[in-house]
Amino acid sequence: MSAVLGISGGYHDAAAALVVDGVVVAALQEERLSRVKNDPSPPLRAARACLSIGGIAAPDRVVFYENPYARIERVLVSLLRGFPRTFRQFPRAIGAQLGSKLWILDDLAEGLGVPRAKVTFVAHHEAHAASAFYASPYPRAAVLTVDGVGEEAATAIWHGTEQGLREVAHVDYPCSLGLLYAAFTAYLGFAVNEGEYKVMGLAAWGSPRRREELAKVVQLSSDGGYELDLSYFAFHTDTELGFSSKLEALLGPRRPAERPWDLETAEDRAYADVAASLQALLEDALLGLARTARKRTEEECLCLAGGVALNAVANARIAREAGFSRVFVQPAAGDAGGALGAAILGAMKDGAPRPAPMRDAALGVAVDAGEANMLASALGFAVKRVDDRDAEVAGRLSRGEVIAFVDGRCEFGPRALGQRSILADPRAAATRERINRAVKRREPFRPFAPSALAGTELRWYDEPGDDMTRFMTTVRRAKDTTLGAVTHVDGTARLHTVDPESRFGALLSAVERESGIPVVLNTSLNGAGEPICATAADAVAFFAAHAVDALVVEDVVVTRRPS
Amino acid sequence: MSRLRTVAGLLGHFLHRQRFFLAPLLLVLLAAAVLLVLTGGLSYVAPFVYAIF
Amino acid sequence: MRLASLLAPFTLGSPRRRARLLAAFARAEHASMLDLRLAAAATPSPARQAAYLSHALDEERHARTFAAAARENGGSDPVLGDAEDLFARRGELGFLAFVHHGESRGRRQFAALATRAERLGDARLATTLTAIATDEAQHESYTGALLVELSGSEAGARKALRRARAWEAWRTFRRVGRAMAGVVWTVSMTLLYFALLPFVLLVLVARPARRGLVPR
Repeated sequence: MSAVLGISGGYHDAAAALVVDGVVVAALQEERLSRVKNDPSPPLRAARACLSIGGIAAPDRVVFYENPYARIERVLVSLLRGFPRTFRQFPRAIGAQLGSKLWILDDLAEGLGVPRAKVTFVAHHEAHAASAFYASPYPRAAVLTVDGVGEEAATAIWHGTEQGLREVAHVDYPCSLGLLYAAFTAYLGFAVNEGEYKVMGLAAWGSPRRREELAKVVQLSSDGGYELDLSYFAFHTDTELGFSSKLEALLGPRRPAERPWDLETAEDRAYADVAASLQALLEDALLGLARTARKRTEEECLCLAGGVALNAVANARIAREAGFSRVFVQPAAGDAGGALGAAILGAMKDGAPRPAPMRDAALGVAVDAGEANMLASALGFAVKRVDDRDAEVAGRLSRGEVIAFVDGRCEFGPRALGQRSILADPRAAATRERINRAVKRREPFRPFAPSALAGTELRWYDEPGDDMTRFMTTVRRAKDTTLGAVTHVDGTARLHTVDPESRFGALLSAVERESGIPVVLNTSLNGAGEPICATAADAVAFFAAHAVDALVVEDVVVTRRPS
Repeated sequence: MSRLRTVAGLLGHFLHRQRFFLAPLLLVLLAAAVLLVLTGGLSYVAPFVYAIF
Repeated sequence: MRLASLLAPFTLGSPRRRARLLAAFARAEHASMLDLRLAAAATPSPARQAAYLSHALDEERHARTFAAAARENGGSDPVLGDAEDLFARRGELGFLAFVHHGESRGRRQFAALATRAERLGDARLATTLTAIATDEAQHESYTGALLVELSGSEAGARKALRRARAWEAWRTFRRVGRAMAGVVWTVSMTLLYFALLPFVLLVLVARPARRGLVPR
């Protein structure tokens, strides 16, 4: 038996993944256990949880998702290239590298009680590529990895075959589409590494009328490459701000972070136009890269990974226009997924077979319904156990209730896929407003996603589901406004298609029996700024702090006592 | 003592024939490491930390 | 707390200072919430798990209240606090002693600031602070009872509290030391930086940035 633990972390969204004899046994982000959103610290809690799930005392090998030596080289080289503007960053950057990040392999060995010789690493983008290709159902594929930055590459094209992954081409830091998007996220007043989704949601409210101006910021070349004009950016010389005053001179002043959004005003509409233009630019850049990948590999299938691959709107456009017949994005496409890629690469290097295609993302810790029962009772809530959980939930949803729903093991990645979800009826737009304002406390322009029973989606959407809708990593256009709560302002929806044979599929069937439609509004089970719930305690704490009508943890139903 | 493996890894990386011309940068790292030992380990947090560090 | 009442005129004097102080409170309450959630996950006792979770919910509410108050005074969203994981580092008894000590200090501080806010004519802030101080008193009381229960005696509880205070003083000492070392590091590294010009030339010649799509 061979057990390989993959680890990502150090920068954001740390995670661990365990592969035993070629089977992905567990994968979990550290934030789910530490309760610190996007927790970057060495994921020892997540690693121990994965080992415990697999019943493994000590792994045979630990594989980190990045080469720490190449990283320190790139840091030093880019600081020197930026001389003398990088003088403020130099002490901090070198301090962080030499003070902690260089020693990550030692920290992992000590923290997990594994001999240091058994702790190795793979390259950042190779880990991303593996996390997509080896989780995909394709025997051969082109692979495109796009993120902020790894050791040196910010984008890479790979060719995945029966022989393994081979790099075809790459674009180096500082020309990074991830950092481009991050810089605009900061310009629009959102938190970097967190607000990128908001930029994508906001883009639907604007029109790409600033696209021409943005052509000065990023030049696309005919070979699929792209170049950033660094004079508009500051991420290479400044840790706090991603963009320079020149960008503000081009597009107008940045948006103040604290001002509430009001898209009725011309001012905020103008910011939505910037978001839409950025989104259009990103899509054009990704399309160029994807078409090059198609040409160079001559493959029919494409896998995408890296933080930028979480851009569902761009993914849909790539699927339509890049010339591939199938496209796959696994749900933890960001850095967390690097842990999965590292574990798979390590296992295959040790002779394990390629893992089976990823069927679902329920790879985290399981919930303990008995614990939820005990805690909810102790906090004074009404608790009951039900025989037919699905009928109970369906009935409540049809009465317009908003339900916190917890089932089985938690999802790997940022998407709620039916294990840790807030569920509601997908029809009334008022439901969306209620969840946005009372539960998520987020900007009113952000959409919610529909989960539909696979095979029924053509009743509401223009195209059938595909390899991506299974993991909610693409969008579809709605045929009408029936599902008002889950249709974005531009008529799209981040559709999630659910296997009828799965437990969540059974719930959707019960919902259909109750309401006539096998669709629910499905958003992640977390409050504003919090990681998604993992354990029963998280779920009960969420229920106590948020105005949802009921908490359902497997067969345990928790409600508030009438006051 | 196991940290020697990391030191060896770092040296090996910079002395590799593909980038031996960067070997002088080891002097910079050595000077910084001496200063770091003198001042104690430090850690920092900032949003663009992953781009620079 | 005497120090808090002495500092109150300064800390509450202007909306900006008020916002900064409230944001610091929000951060502290958030950090405390995280530690309590970790403790709830780690304690072997279901009763204490429920108690820590309930306490964590209060801290979360306090953090939100303080963050909202900071925003009302013109501050932006506060940076969220980080967990110290005192349960894992100090054991359950050490953790409880630290929490008890912190709650007691928080209660005194908030009560003093509430009085001050009232005098300054900010009735709303005074009410908020008083309500939170009341919660802190309840936390102080339950952690006090648990301390006695876990240590087996009043004397044991007092000993744990003395240790918590000593550890906190040591932590402060180390933090100040780290901050000073940080200044020395920054100054010396900045000096080193400007001595690196030859290396800059080396990198510019030997490793110019590669642009566009680079084939493997």
